[in-house]
Amino acid sequence: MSESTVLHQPILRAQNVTKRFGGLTAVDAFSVELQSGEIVGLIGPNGAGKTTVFNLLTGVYKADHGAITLRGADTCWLTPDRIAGLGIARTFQNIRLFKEMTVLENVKVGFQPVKRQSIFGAICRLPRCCQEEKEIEREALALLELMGIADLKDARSAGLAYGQQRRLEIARALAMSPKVLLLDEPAAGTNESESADLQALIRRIREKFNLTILLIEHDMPFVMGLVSRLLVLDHGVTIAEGTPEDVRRDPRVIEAYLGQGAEA
Amino acid sequence: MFWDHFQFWGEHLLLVGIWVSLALSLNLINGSTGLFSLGHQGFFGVGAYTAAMLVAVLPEKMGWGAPGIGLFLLSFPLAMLTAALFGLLVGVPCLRMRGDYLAIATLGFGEIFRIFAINSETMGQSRGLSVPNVVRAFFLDTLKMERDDARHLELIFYIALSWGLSLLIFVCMRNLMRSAHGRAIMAIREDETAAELLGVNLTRYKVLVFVLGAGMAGLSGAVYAHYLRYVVPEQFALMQGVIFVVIVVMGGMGSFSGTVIATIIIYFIPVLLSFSPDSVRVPVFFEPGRGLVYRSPKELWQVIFSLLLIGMILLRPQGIMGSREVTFGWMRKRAESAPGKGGVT
Repeated sequence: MSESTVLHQPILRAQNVTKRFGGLTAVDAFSVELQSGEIVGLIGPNGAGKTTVFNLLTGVYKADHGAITLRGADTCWLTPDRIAGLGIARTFQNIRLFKEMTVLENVKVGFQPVKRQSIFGAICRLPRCCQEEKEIEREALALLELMGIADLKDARSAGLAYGQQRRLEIARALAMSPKVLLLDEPAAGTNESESADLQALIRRIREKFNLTILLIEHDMPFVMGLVSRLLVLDHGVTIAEGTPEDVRRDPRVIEAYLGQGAEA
Repeated sequence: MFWDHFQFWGEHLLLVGIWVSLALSLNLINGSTGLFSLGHQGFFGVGAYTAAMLVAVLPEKMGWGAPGIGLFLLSFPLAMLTAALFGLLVGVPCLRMRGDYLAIATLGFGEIFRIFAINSETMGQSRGLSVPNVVRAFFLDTLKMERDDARHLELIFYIALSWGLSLLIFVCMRNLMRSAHGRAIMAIREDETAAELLGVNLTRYKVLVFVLGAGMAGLSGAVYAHYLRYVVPEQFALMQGVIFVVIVVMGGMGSFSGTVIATIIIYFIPVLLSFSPDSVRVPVFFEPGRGLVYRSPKELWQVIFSLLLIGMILLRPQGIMGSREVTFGWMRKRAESAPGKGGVT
């Protein structure tokens, strides 16, 4: 990994990022470098600070220490919408769809960073704005098609099954044309065959949209089969980093997951 | 005979048109974006006072004589811009707050405006301002019309103006909400954090909505001031604003057609009650020692208003239309489902 760092500028880099909530250090000196096109996993027991890392990377929380650079830009002073505009998109552990909107409308909201129409143009329905709306509609339908939920486009999003809601969140994130995609437990609540489909789907979107993906997941076979390397968090501290094989054998990881003395 | 009826119903038609335009602009703020503003009557008042002062105070102070039709026409864009400017001044600091805090801050603005008007010499204090009838004067003096014709045409002109304004606001709002910007606005209402992470600039859109809504309320205010030909601070009291908030909630948050329906219902309840003959009395409450107390239905407006609101919240909290709109497609679907399901939505 260190060789490739010399050759390529990482697309996303976090250096010694620390976040405290009162007396609790949720994330302690977290560092990661994502190279363009790789899929990296972020694992750890519940409450290890994985979602906090996502919130720091997307700007929901501001880091107390450390720096985050996205595509060469320091995101320290930027609001979440500006950071999103730089090309980072995410899904949520506890799904956050716009419940009152239809499936198609949810995806259409995702085109915010790429829209070009002006307010005036929208109010007066200028031809250029209508043209863009047509394009957005077409692209949104294509994304739903890709996620396999195109037939549900007019359903209220709250009425979708759990797995379909997760796919809809991915479609909405892809609508932003991101460079980096953060997936928070995409396989939660799926059975074995569904998670195999999802694995294939994640690989396919990585190829198709030239994405760099960081994913949080508890389903170990799912992560191990997908990622090129893994980071393991425990109590906010990065306790291990490396290929899935290395991490699996790491005594500290076994201890974090199974408790002290488990190897004995 | 016809013109007598026309004068009566025409005036109601006109006023309901102004109400509709005001409710529509409030629906953009409170309904579509989910910002709880209680200061809309203030922006309405800013527009009304701007228009009134432009034709009543300015020519007098400058010694221009009677205001002409040019000044009248100018008063509309100026009322809109002034109200929008106030929207910006109130919006930028207040929109950092959420929910109840925003409601209190905007309520503060509405009250400050009203109290300022009561104490301002130029704004006529609590007597208010009387506005010269520029339109009538134009019809009589410039177009050399008969007195009755001018009176009728004036009313027709204002009906067209108020409903034209409502239609304009309706179409603009619908277009806006169907665009990518409109989806950003709806996303803010549904989930601010998710919207922000999808690249929606919260402050920008909230201020934009507030400024647009305030500007349109200012336009409604200008029509109101010109037609009534007087403005007094009490027209812009808090209770007026509350009625419009109730209208928006009743119509369905974010549904523009629901807002129109709710405005017409709320406006015409007191009008219809006023038709009840004096002989009709209904029992209102029981007082020990006196027995049942009877009142004329005319006095029951606020009781009915409150009952309607309570019933609405209990039976249909999403409002008349929910967040849907009355469209031709929707009506057709309803008509098709009606025979089988009895019109169940």
